[in-house]
Amino acid sequence: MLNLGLRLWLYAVTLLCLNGLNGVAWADETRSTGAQNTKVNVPLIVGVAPHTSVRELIADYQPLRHFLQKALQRDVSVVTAPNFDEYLRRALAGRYDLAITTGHQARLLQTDAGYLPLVTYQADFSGIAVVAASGKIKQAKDLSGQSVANLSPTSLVTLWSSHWLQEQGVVGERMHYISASDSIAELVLAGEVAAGFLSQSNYDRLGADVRARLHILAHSPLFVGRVYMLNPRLEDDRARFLAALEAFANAPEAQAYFTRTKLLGYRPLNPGELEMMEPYAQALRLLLAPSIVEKAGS
Amino acid sequence: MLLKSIVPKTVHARLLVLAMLVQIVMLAVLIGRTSDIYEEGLLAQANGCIGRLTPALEAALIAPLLQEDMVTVQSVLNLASQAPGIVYLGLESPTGALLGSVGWPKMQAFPEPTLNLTKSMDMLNGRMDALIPLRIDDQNLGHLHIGLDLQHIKQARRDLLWQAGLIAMLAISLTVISLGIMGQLLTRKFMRLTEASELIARGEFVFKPLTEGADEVGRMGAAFNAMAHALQQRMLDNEATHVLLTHEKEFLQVTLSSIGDGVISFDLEGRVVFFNPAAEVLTGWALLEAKGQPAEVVLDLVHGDTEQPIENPVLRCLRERSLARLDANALLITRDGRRLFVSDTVAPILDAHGDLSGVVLVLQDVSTKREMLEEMHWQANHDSLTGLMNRRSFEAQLRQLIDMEKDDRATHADHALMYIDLDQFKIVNDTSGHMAGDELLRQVTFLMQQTLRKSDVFARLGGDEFGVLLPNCPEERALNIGNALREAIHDFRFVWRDKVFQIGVSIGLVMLNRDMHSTAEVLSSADVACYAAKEEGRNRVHLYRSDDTAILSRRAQMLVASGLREVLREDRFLLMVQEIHPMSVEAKSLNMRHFEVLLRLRNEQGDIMPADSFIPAAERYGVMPHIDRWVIRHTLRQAAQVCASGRVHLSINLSGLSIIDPLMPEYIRLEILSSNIDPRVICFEITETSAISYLSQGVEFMRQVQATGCQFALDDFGSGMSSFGYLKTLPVQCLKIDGSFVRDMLHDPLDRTLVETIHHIGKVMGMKTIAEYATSMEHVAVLEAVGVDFVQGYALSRPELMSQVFADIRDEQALTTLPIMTDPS
Repeated sequence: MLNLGLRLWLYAVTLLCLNGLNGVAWADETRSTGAQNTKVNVPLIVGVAPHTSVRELIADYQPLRHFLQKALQRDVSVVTAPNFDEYLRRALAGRYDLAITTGHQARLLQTDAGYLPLVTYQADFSGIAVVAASGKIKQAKDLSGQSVANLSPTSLVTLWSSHWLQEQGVVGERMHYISASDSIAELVLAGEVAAGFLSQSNYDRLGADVRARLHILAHSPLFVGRVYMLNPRLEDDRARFLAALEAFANAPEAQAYFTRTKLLGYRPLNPGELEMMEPYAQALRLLLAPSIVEKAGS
Repeated sequence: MLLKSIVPKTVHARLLVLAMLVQIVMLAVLIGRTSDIYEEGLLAQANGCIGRLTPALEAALIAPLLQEDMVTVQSVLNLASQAPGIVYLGLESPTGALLGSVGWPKMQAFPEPTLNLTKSMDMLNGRMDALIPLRIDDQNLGHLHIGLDLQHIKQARRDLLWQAGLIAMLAISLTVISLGIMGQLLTRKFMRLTEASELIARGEFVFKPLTEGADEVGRMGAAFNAMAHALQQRMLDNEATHVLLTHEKEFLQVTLSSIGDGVISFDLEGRVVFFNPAAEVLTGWALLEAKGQPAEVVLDLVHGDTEQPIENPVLRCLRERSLARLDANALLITRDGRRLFVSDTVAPILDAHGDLSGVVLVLQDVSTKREMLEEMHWQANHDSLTGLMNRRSFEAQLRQLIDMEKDDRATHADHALMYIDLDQFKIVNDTSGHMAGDELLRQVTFLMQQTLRKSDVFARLGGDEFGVLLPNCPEERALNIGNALREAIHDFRFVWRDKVFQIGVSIGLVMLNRDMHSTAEVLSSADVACYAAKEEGRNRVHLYRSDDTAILSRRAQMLVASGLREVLREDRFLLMVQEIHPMSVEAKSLNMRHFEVLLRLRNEQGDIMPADSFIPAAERYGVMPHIDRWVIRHTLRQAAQVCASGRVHLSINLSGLSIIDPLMPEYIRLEILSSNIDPRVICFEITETSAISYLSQGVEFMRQVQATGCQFALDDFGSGMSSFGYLKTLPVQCLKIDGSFVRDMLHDPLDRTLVETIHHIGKVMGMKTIAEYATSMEHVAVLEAVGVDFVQGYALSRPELMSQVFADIRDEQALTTLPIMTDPS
């Protein structure tokens, strides 16, 4: 268990390395375009955890982006990351002004980077294990020695699935990490993997025909949903952000969004609710630390 | 000057230079424009390349950008930079931070995007710079810089210009060669044309004809050949015309020298320019002397009567610029003093512009002509036999006197007119011939001229009739003159060969008064008075008075004669017939009925008038031929049916005037033809007096009518005191013994002897004899005893209406053959 100061130092080194690899001076917001040498309005960066494909994710959050631009009177950019790990690293590095991520990452950001929780969705988060309805997998034990698909090694669903597989006595399974939840369903239906793990909300967004051919083998316990976390440098604006989010929740475009995604709306976090995610946050720290060290060393 | 020195001297070279210039300009424009279009196409292609590249790059870059995955971004840029023509690629964040680049120095700002793609390739520096914004929704993700290589486009344009230049050079070379050859061909023909034109200009037409063809030069050659031929023909024509004109000029000069009229031309000042020989003879001036002399000197013109100078027509023509003629009575006094009546015409000579350049005078000696005209005038107004005035001239003198009296009523003078008719002239003429008659007229004329005053107008009015106009002559004096004339003629004895004739005159005298308004009226009165003198026993002077009985009778006849024409128009004549009875055995054996056609007149009151009430008037005033035609036509039409049997014979009387009517024989022939009557049953009666009076015409007339088949009878034979010798020349078939002999034959032995003698002569000559006026059966018995063939008279038959008689005959259906007839009237 590393202390907070060490972790922050590690994260900082990791980010510097990443910046060097990418050749991007994210902090140099004043670089000229070459065509024009003028200062530009620095946008508010909303980082959304890559729980689905990039275009779908960006599309989902466009109503929020528009609303915030008007409410906060500044440009807003919605970005994501190639995967959960990278997302977490960037969030930890303070890349996002507003981070929207799963409960265990929110807990990690709260504890390790000082992010301030704002709101979460009214709908709880849960993970499920799906198999092909017409397949031969009927129970968890059938998965022993089979290939299974997950989104990311550090996602909440993956962490739950590892724990559940272990509880169900499954052995020898081969874990494959897929970038998008709909891809997981396709792989299951195609027989490429015996089972797939994804969130309930992602499952609900699959097509009805897809869902009809899938069989939910198991449900995880209910977790807190994605949490809106405010970068600690914007702590003074926390009330404005809360007001803006509340106003957005009441706006028609938000209602449509909530209805379509079955997220129902925003709600404040209950006391101790994030703290309940601490085991998963811890697991996350353990998973992330080697890669950070590896990358920082390279 | 410089331009002039640069411009080629020959048409050939000018055409060549001009064509080259035009071609160079056009090719330059064409190549330039083609290059531009080609370049625009390549630029558009480059632009399209960017357009096609952009969506792919956007698709590839948006996801890593949103994920802020710069490694992937750089990979995408590296991969995309391998596309052909890509010089560099660069990606900047919305804030201008460099997110990735390839082919462009990292520390160097990207070039400005190429805004105007149509600008010159050289200005683009061989590269196109594009700036592509990357967005999702309205979220700005950054800017993509693309540098596209345009060097291959520049190379393509260079290749195009090089190839086009080569083609242009080739085209210009071919043009120069072809135009050079064509120009050579063309100018060669022009040179030939020039040489031929120079030859023609020298009047030499010996050149080879230019080549002809369908093209412009060929057509020009054909036209030139035709022109040269026409020109040569024109020259030949001109030469011929020149020769002809020379001949004509010589001919005209000879003509002018030969004509009898004098021709003199004058200049604008009236001076002599030309004289022909006739003019020299007329004026007495030689040409050399007259040339330059004024017109009034060579033409000394005076009035023919007064010999006063008259205006020279040459000067008048010059002044008035129009045709001028001399006075009809102009007299030319020649240089040698002769006096000639001349006529002339002076005409202006106008040049081609209508300006006066002189005058020409044609002079003619009309002295002889004037004499001839005077002679003709005299002959027109005088009797050639006696030298006296003729009737026309006499009437003119009379009219003048009447008009003078009308105009000058204040001073009335007595004037008289005598109408003189010679008695017994016809006997002299008939017995001794026309020469005797003419001589008699000449001698009587001379005799009367000795008796008349010098102021009297004496004229021969025709035949043996004379007229004397006695101006300022009272009635008594006029009577004295008339009687003196009568006595002189009566005492005169005309001797012709062995015969001596005593003649007399009947003179009608009229005193002119103001009631007589016309010559016809005066002459008519004189004629009436003369007739009265004849009626009174001839050889006397009868003074015309308006209340004179004889005159009134004569006047009445004139009225009757004028009324007869109206009767003719109204068909108021009546035709009657009197039967002529056969007496001799021979006549009776013919078994025909004979009728004489008689004429009556129904006057306006409806009374039937006898023939002697209108025949004398009709004869004297010339109406008789018309009446004769009426009788012939109506008789033949009414008799057509009864004569068809050939048993009815008709005798029709003809007057003396009809005998001398040249159209009468043809009229008779046509009427007989149209009536379809056998002409042998028609006999025409002519009185002995008429036959003798117009002997020669009568014989000819009878021969012509006899040719149609008709017969002739000599009527009133014995009354005319004629010689029986005439009978030998007259072609008649019957003798009709004069009724006066028959009427008195019962009491007068001489008359009975004459009847017997005439009958005997007729028999000797083979003629039928007819006796008329048999008023009693005693006459009939005596005539039958004499042996006359036919008898006519009231004792046997009275005249009856022709229509009635012919109706009866048709009813009887039997006709009797009759010989010749007699007029009982």
